Amino acid sequence: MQEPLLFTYHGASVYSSDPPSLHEGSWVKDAILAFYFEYLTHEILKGDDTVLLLKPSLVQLLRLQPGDESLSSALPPGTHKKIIVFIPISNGDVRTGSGSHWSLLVLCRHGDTPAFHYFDSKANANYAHALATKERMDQVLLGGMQTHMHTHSCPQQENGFDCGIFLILFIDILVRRYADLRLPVAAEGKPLPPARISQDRQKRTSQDRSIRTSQDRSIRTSQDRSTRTLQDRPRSLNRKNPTPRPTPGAQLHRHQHHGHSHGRHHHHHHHHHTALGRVHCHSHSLRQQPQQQPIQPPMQHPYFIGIPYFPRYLRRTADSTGADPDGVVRRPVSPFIQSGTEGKTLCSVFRPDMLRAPEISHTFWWIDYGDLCNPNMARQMLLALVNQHTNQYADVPQ
Amino acid sequence: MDNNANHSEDVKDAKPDTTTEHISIKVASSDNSEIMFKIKRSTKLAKLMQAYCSRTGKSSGTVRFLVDGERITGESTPESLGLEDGDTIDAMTEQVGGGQH
Repeated sequence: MQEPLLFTYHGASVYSSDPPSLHEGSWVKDAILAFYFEYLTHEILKGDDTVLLLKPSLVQLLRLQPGDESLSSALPPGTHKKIIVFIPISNGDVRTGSGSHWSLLVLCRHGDTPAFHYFDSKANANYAHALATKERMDQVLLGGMQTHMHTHSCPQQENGFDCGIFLILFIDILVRRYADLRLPVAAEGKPLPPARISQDRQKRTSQDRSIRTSQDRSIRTSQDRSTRTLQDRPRSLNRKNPTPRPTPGAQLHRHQHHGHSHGRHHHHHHHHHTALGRVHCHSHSLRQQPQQQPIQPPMQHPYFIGIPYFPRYLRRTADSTGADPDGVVRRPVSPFIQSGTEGKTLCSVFRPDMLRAPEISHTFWWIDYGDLCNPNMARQMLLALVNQHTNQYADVPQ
Repeated sequence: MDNNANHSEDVKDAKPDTTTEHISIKVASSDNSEIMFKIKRSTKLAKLMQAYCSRTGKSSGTVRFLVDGERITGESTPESLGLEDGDTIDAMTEQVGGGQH
């Protein structure tokens, strides 16, 4: 007797025994991961066909089944062209069955050399499995190329049951960051005329590195003690002031600015010697030439690996949904990133020094320990999402 | 990898086998064993899934059946999925994880 199917979301089926795996202390099931991956694919990445989130069952197939030819056909269409492939790693195999630990492997084919990136919330416990999967992917997907697997430091779980949640948190942050990078957003929410775009992009590509370095330096040298304190805790600021970041006056200024010079723009930003104001400022200078529709081809995207994602990522003007109260700028912000200190258990503060080398070359992959919310809160949010889909599905006559 | 274990088994339909509507479907599991089933094109695959689970002694909730890498539900039929005679369904084991070893 099959258990009741709660809903199917773009091919991800959730059965009645799956949601309880989100309860506190439970081990998260693959079906939940599969569902959330589809959710990110369709709700966040939308039409972006450069990213692929492999479902756990398919990864199991890749990992355990011999024969490269048949595997290629099992991969979703276009897999060979994806820039980013997220690969959930389980340690389950023929002997251990369902497994006991989740971790994250990501294939990144941006730039000259494809490389894998590895995130494990439990002291690299799945390292061997990830490596085996990587070698398999080398064969199946990369024509036998020998790639490197970068192991990244990342937030660590403090118990024996939250790895699935951490996996979701990591993927969520990286997916939204990637989507954010590719989202056409102007510095102040106003797109430039298309004609300027390509030219600006080229300029930015070549200048990218130097801009970044000099700014990085300026972060460290120019901050006084009070600024630093604020900068260390940008989210608590945000929480006290849930209204849009710029003060009403500044907002007015900002509106005025839309048709005006960049000089005034700078002026506006220098009003805010808060953390976000500061970040704001950086983001502005990096984004004087904003992006434009449609979604940019990623291979030419100058922002992809490098610091520029960072200010933009932090520059949240809005609530956790990413909606700007001005209705101008929309960017995906992870719901798992908390604006307050409440519910945050994982490490302490935002540390600008973490942006220095060697992290700097993989800044895209940087996951701030302070970014993540309490895993239990994440469980509740995920459960609410699952329930919401369950109810929607039940409402529709089958 | 484990040794191959190939079996063949009929899914006994409720109705007698009067037509040529039956096709053979191979179910391949992650331990590399394969079981062949005969099933009507219009029969819900739930039947095949159940048969597979009882044959292998697995509980039905712990197996994920994939066609071309996509998970299928018991509601679908060979017809609805476009399965042909001799096609393979992959049977993957449920995966969970918490971080304990």
